[in-house]
Amino acid sequence: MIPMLNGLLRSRRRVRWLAALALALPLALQLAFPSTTGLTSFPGIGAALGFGGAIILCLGAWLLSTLLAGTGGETGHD
Amino acid sequence: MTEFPVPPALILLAAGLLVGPMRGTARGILLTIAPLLALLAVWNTADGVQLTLPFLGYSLEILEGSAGRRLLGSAFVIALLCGNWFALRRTRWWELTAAQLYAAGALGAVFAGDLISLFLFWEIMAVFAVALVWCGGDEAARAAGIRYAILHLLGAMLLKLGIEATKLRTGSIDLQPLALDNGASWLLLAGLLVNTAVAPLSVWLTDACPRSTPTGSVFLIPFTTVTAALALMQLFPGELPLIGIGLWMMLHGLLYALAQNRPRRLITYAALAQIGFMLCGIGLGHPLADNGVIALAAVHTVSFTLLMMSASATLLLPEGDRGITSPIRYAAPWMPWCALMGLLTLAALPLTGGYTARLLILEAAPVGLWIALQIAMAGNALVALRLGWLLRSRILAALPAGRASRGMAVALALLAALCLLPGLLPGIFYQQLPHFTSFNPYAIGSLLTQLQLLLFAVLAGALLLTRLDIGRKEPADFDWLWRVAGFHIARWTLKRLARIRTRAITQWLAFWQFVNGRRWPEAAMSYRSINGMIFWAVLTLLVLVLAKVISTLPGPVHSGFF
Repeated sequence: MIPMLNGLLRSRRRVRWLAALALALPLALQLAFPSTTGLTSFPGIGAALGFGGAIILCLGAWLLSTLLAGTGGETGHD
Repeated sequence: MTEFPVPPALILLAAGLLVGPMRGTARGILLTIAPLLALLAVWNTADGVQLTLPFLGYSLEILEGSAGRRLLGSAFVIALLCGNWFALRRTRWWELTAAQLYAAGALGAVFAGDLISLFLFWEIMAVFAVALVWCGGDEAARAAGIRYAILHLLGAMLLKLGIEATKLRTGSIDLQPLALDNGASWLLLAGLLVNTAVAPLSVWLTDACPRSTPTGSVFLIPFTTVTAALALMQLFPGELPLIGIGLWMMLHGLLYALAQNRPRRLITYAALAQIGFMLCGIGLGHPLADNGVIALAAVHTVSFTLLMMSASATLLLPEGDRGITSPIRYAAPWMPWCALMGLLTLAALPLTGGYTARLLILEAAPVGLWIALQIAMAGNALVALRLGWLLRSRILAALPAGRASRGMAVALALLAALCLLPGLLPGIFYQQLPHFTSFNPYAIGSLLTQLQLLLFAVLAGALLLTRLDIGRKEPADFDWLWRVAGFHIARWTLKRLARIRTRAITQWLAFWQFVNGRRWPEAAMSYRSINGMIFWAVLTLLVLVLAKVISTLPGPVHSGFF
């Protein structure tokens, strides 16, 4: 399985196509099989929350890292 | 069920006392048989009070069974068993003794039926957790152990005061739901929150756990916080402040987890975010959310033990071998896949326990909280991505064959299988929960929403995490307030107040300096650290506003599951 994955991921172009397909597939499936329950019935809500939420958290962590750069890390165990 | 119930904690207490005198294979057999017997005792504990003990005029209910307790007890015992196999040939007997007694305290607290039994087992847990931290052996570990003890002493005092006040107010010591409308309940809540590791008092976990030995951290990660979350669920179900506290914990845990560059510290911060998720579920007070809290607590125990093992295993290598994968023989090619199962469970990928457990809480959440929890799920995916990146080249594949024992391999495989089972067989998993539910976690809407969430969170993480250079220089946490600022203020004040610097004052300052740690970076002493405190003040305000907004939004996203 690992050699097969390695072969599949060797080309950068192929990786990009695979990533685009993986991102588009759940969106397409949601449009094809719409849900009727609550907020999950909004097409693309998972994508919006995932992408938006991750950006907010990354920026928060970046702000924290920048404001307090190098103030922690008292130990060197790991 | 047997007619003579045996407390599972008693079996582990006995095992802990026998570890020292035993050697070699006999010790290995003891550390396998004792948890298996404890597991049998867990499953044999019927619902309701099974065993009472007279104590100072009280009738202590030291063994009370319920479905949730049995599931959580099973997860604890399995985590201990796997930890024993992982640590058996790599550590000294006193660490194994401390681990058995620590787990015994945790199991006792899970099955305690009254507040006094809970408190007694709680203290057993605290004492042996400190012993496990001290097993780290160096000055930093000794200081961290003292800090751990100080914070838990504070928590224990609050808890004891709360128990006394509750007894005076209600006349009962039963573990039963209490309203947060009086000082006694607030004292109990405060005591429990210290053990749940709510910021700013969360530092005992993130500070002490990585300072123990690599094997000690595996035992330290799951028990205390999960036990405290269970106690909160029994005492304060449906109390809205817990939702705000849970959101705060998630935000704090996720941001700090992303800002770490050492795997074991990152895992402890990720654990805080998980406990925050559980507190939100407890605050909802919905049967579906209660199921979700118990399910998540069990999955959390198993998956975080697995993740900590994966991170700790790399530390068992000689210094020169860390980070090298190719020149040495692989112990077993499937071992890194076990660590991957832990990461996928943390990210709540469908078909893992993380998904089936968290979905129960999500389905019971009102609209605003649902959105906040989904963002936290995206954060968990980011944390899993970052942890995977940190471990990428030094994960278990790097272990040479001689260093990866059969016990370690079996422990990893068992934990990885248990991370997957609740996702593959959700029906059977849900039958073990306290309330009946016919909920289907693989409804098309939930499944596709979750897949989108994970994929797009990973996309954002891949684009931003390396570009923003997050986590290269670790930020200080709230302990900076008393370990650096507090110490300097105290020293400055004492220098001016005490005209004659007595020997006692000098010794006290030296002790405090030892406890605080001496190896702080220069930046920690600068005004830069104050930026962080302003940052957190602003974020706290934001969380309070968010919690207020959430409380005004309409109720559960879905309904009619029961």
